[in-house]
Amino acid sequence: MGSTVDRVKPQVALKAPALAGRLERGSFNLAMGLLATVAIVLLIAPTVVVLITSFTNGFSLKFPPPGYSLRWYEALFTQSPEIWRAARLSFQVALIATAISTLFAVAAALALARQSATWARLAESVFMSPLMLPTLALGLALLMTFNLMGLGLSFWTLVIGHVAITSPFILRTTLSSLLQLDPVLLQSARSLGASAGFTFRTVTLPLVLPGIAAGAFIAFMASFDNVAISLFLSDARSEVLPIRLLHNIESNLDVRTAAVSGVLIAVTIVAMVVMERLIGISRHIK
Amino acid sequence: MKRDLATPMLAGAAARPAGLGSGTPLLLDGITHRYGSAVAVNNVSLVIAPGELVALLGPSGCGKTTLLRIIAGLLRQTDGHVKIDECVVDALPPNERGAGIVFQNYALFPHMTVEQNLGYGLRARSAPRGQIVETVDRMLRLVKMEALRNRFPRELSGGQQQRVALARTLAVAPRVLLLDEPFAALDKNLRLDMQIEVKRIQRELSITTIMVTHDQEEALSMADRVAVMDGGRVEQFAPPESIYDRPESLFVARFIGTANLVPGQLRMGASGASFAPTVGGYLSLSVARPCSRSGAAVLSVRPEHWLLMPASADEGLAATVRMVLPLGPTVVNELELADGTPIKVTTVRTATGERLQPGEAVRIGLAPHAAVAVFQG
Amino acid sequence: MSAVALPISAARARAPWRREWQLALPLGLFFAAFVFFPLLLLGYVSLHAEPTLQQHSLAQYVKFFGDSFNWRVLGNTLLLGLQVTLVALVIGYPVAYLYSVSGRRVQQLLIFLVLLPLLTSAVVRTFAWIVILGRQGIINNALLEWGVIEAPLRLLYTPWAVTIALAQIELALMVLPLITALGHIDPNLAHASRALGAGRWQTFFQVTLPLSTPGLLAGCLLVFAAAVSAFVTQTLVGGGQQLFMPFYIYQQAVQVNDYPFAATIAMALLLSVLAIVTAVNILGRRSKGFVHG
Repeated sequence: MGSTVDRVKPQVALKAPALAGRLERGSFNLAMGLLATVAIVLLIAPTVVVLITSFTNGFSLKFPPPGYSLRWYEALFTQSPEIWRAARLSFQVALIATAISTLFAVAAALALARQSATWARLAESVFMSPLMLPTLALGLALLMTFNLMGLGLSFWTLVIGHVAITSPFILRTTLSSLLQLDPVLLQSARSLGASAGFTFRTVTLPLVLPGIAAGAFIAFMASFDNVAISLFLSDARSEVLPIRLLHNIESNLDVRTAAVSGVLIAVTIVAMVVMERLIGISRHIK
Repeated sequence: MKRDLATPMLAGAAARPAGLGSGTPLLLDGITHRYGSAVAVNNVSLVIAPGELVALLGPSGCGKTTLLRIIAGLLRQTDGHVKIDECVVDALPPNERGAGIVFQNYALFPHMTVEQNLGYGLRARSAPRGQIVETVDRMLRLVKMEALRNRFPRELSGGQQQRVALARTLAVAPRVLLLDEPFAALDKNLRLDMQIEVKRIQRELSITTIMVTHDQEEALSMADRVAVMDGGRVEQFAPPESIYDRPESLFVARFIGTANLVPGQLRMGASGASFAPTVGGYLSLSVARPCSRSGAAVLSVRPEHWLLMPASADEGLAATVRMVLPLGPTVVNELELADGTPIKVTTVRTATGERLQPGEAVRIGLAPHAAVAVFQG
Repeated sequence: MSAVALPISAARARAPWRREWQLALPLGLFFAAFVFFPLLLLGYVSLHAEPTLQQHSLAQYVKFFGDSFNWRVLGNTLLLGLQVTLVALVIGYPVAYLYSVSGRRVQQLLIFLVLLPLLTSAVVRTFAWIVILGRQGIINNALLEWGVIEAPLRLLYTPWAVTIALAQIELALMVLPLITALGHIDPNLAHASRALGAGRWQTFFQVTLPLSTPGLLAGCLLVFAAAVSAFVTQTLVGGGQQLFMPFYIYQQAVQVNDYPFAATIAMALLLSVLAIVTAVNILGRRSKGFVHG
C-alpha cells in the first residue's frame, strides 16, 4: 500500500528566493526600527533640549545656546521667592492629597479585589473615571460646588480636588497587586492558625505594599504637576507651581523657567531611580 | 451479590491494620457536598486509623480534592460530619480543628525566609519565643534543611520548597496532615526520593495523613490504605494489595493497572466455579468474587497472572500474539482473542532470551493461585 | 482540578464579605460628594438661561449648538484628539514592539524613557516644545544654518505643532498599555505563524496586531481623552490661533464669568468624550472574545 506521504511535496524548501525572505524581513525591521527611533528621539529630545537651554548664559531661549553658565540656576535659587513659595505649596498639597488618597484607595481596593458582583464592577468604573474624563470639567464643577456651599477657595478645597484625581492611580496599582496575590497563600496562613488580622498584617500587607507605594508615587507626581484642577481651585494668594510657570511662560518667557524645568526633571529622574531600586516600580505601572 | 453503592462503605473497618502508634483517629460520616445541582462528594464515610496514611485516588473530577478541602475546613460540606479524635469539627475553621494542609504549589510566603516560614504558625498563635526557636530548629533537622534556613523560597529547588512546606505545616503539630497532590510538580526522579522522605517522616511522627493523588503508583506504594474514588463516591477502601488483586468493582479493576476484561458465563459449582468466555474456551476458578452468582459475567485477570501455553493445549483460551515489547526485566506480550479482545500478558524475561513471535498462536490460562475478579456482566 | 476561590465556610464567608464592602465607603462617599454631585451640579447649571441662575431653560444648549463657531471649536478639539491618537499609535506601537523583543537591559531603559515625560509636568513638557519650535529654537536654527530658509518660520501656533507636541507628551499613555498587551500574547503564536510560512508583515498584521487589540484600544482611549483635555499644550503651543474646548471653558468661566455657558461647554465636552469612550469600549468588548484563549 503506497503511502500518501510521498505525494505531498515540500513546498518551500527547494525554492531559490531566500532573497525575497530577507527583503521582507529587512523591510519589516527597517520600518519598525525607523518608527521606533523617531519615537524615542521624540521622547528624549524635548527633555534634553530644555536641560541644555537651562545652562545658557544668554537672555533668550536660543538653541543652541551661545554659551554656558549657571546664572539662571543662580537666579532661580536666589531671586525667585515666588517660585519657591509656589513649589512649597505644590509639595504640601501633593503630600496631603496623596496621603488621604492612599487611605481611601487602599481601603476601596481591599473591598473590590476579587469581587465579581455588579456593584463592585460599577464602583471600580466610577472610581477610575477621573482618568478618562476631562478633569477640566471636574475642576469647573468643583468650583461651582464650593461656591454653592459658600466655601471660599482655600488650601483644603484644592486638596479635595487633588484627592479626586489622584485616588484612581493608587486604586489601580493596589488592585493589580491584590489580584496578583495568590489566594492560596492566605488559605495557607489561615490553616496554620493565623487570624484574619494577623494574616492581613503579615502576609497581605507586605506583599501589596510595593503596589501601594508605586501608586502613591505616581499620585504624588500627578498632583504636583496638575494644572486642570488647580486652574479653577487656586485662589489669588496661593499659586501652585505649574500655574506659576504657566503665567511665567505666558507673560515674559524668561529663562528661569528653563532652570525650574531642569530642576524638576532632575528631581523626577532621581525619584524614579530611587523608586525603581526600592520597589521595582516599572513592574507596577503597567 | 449485588453491592449496593448507596450504603455507606464502612468496609474499611474490617481490613484496618493494627494501630500504628499514637496518632489521631479521623472519621468521615456521610459527607456530601453539592455545588448547585452537581454533586461533588456523594455520601462518603471512612474510618481512618490513628497514624495511618490514606491515599484518595481517582481521575480528575472524582471529588478527591473537594473531600480533602472539606476535611481541612476550607470548605463547608452540605451534609455529614467530620470527626477528629471523636469531636465533630464541622463548625471549626482550619486553624482550630488541628488539620494541617500542604498545598500543591506549596504556598510558601515569598517575602519570608525558610526560618520565618517555618515559625509562622507558632507566631500566629502567639507561642513563646523560646518554643518557636526550638520548634523551628527541630523542623529544620527533620527535613534536613538546616543549611538553608536563611534562604528565600525563590532561591530553593522544587524538592526543597516542598520540604519547607511540609515542615511548616508540621511545626504547628497538627493532628491530621493533609497533602494535596504533593508530588505533582516534581520531576520523576525527585518524586521517588520525596515519596520515601515523606513516608519516613509520616511514620516517624505517627501522624494520621490523607493524601490526594491521581498517580496510581504513588498511591499503591505509599499508602497504608487506598480509597479509590469516582464521581464523588468511594468505590473501594482497602490496602493496596487488595485494591490490586481483589478489585471490588469494574471501575476499580479498570482504573488500577490493566484489567484484561473477558466477557462470558460464570457457572458456580460445588467445588469451585468455571468461566466460559464468549469467544470459547474454558477456565476453572477456585473462587469467584466479588460476583458469585451464575450467569453473564466479566472476568478480570492481571497481566502477570496469565499462563502462556502452547497452541496445542486443551484448556484455556485461544489467542494470537500481536506485539512483543521487552521492558527491562519483564516482557509485555500484547495478545488478541478470537473476537479481537486485547489481552496483555507480562512474563519474566527468560535466561535464554526466548520470546513469542508476532502472529504466533498460543493458548492462555490462569496461573495457579491467580487472583482474578469476576464482575456481574 | 481545583476550584478557584473556595469560601472558608458558609458562616465565615458571609461575615468577612459584609465587613469588606464597608471599606469602599470612604472613597465612595468622597466620590459621591466631590465628583458625582459636582458633575450633576454642572449639568444643572448648564440648564439655566442667565448667569444669575433665575430661570431653567435649554437656552445655553441652543446657544451652543446653534452657532457654527461652537461646532467648529468642538470639532477642532475632537479632531485634534483623533490626530494625536493616530500619530501616537503609528510611532508608539513600534516602541512597544521593540520592548517586547528586547532583553532586560533595553527594556528597563525603554520604560525609563517612556515614563519620564509622564511624570514631569505638562507645563515643563510644553515649555520644551516652545523651546524647540520657537523662532530661536532648534528647528529654526538648524534650517537657517543649512540655508534652507532665510527667515525663521512660524512653527509655533500652528495646528500640526499642537498635534506633534501632544503626541509626544501623551506617547507614554499609548505605549504602556501596548507593552502589557504584547506581553500577554503567547510568543509561540508568532513562531507558529512563521513556521507555517507567513512573512513578518503578514504575521504582524494577522496575528500580533489583532491579538493586541485590547491594549491598543485602551491606549487610544487614554491618549484621546488626554489630548482633548490638554489645556496647557493647546493654549501655549496653539496660541490664540485655534480655540479648543478646554480654554473656551476657562475663558467663559473665569474671564467672562458666564457660568451657565461655561457649564454647557463643559457638559458638551464631557458627553462627547463619554460617548466616544463608551462606543470604543463596546467595540473592544466584542473583540475580546478571541483574544483570551
